[in-house]
Amino acid sequence: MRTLQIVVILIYVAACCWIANKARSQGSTLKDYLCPEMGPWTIALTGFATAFSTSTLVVGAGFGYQYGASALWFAVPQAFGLAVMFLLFSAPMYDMRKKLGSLTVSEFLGARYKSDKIRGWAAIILFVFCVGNLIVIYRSLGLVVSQAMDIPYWLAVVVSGALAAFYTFYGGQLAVAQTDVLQGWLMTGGVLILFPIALSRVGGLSELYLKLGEISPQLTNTPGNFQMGILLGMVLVFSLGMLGQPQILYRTMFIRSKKDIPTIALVSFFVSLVACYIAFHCGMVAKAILPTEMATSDLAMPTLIITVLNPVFAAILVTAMAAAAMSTADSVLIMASSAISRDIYQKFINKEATDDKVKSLSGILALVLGAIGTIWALYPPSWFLFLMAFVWAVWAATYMFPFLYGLYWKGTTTNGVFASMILGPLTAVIWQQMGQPFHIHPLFPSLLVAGLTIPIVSSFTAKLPDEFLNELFDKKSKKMLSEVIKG
Amino acid sequence: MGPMNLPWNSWLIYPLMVLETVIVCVWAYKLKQNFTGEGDDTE
Repeated sequence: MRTLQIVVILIYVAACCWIANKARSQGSTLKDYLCPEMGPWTIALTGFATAFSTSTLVVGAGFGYQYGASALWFAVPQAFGLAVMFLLFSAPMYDMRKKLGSLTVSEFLGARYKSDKIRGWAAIILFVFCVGNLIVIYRSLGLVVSQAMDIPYWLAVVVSGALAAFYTFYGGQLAVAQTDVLQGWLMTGGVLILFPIALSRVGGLSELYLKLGEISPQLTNTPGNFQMGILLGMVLVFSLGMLGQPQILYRTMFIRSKKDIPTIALVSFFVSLVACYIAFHCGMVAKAILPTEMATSDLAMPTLIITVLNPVFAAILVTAMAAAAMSTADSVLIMASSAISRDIYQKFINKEATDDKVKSLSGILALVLGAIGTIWALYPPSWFLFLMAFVWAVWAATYMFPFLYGLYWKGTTTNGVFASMILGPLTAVIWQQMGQPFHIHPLFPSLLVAGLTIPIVSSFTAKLPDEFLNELFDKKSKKMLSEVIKG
Repeated sequence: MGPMNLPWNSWLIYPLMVLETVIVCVWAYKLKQNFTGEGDDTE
């Protein structure tokens, strides 16, 4: 078993390195490194792998284990949210980012609203929560892989962290996206192999639900252990929250043709739906067949894998779980490093820095951040749990409405957006500190504040120049607006 | 109790799943129609 696991993981490591090397040879410019154009399947699968990762394979299965059938209400809306994000944002984003020449999420917002402060603030929020996110991903990865492979936690974290940082540093965004494709297929293929084998141990779906009902009727009932209001609220949280996650929004900037958008939306939706649905069901199977209660529900998936699969498939599935975590970690790494190198360093600290220098700095920062994330995953600082409790809400409240209004409404003003980007996340922090009054997730009040602030403040603050806006919203024009922006 | 030993209230997820699938497919189809005839926009 151990030898097989090592062989499968070595094949996976070699594949990631080969992809990074191939990606590096495909382009040498800063644009190739940070924001390359890609085909529809690559974008759909990198979107899926970035958005779902451990949240599907580990946490999702854990939800199925803990809450049974009602957990499916968390799975389905996420797939829908991802597809809606592509359908809603991709086409206007394609038109605008070409005219604005932006390479990062923060740079796009700064150029759209002609504001350095918006760009700087967007980059800071991105960076701080990216680092916290990285620690969570590495911790989850270390826990699961060390359990499944029976190796020390530190070894799992260090090896996975080093690999993700290396290929991000070496191949940039293209390597991140292409390894995401491999990781996305590994995740989906993994659960497609696991589920029928595990289900046959129970005797089929009917028997599964019967056994769950015998363990506890709440496991087959909806809303089960939840209140109906909270369950429906979480459906909205998981659907809406997906529209404002910068690491996923970033994927809309890689589109090479608007004609690819329907394919991207459909592929990302169906792959996500199938993977989520099956992964959550794997958790339910674990509840039905595993004799002892797990110390934490996150261990349901790795324990099910080593219980029901033969060594070859088990090794592939363990690799798929590591891949799932890495697919999000690499996206976070490159976003955080580009936020510092492109949006802070080149924009504010050294305006004369060449693109080559920014590219090198991005790569080095990816390595440094990977190392910091790994060390903090081994020795987690006390503040990161506080940050991560509401990162979903903070990112959604910061990014969703500046993009939504900015892509569709000419009347959006710079001050309106900046106020929204301050008040939205601030509301999330305050709401969390107040202990989530009325059991309402911080996402709702923060989105309400962020969404209303923009039209209210925009109604009495200075509009952007008409010449700039007309050119930006003119779908037929291909003119670059860099000169208009500088003006 | 509904089919397959699952209570009826737990089957409610499936109409939601179908509704979301229909929305995504129709939206994607409309976009496809919009972009047909725009010419090749790749560089």
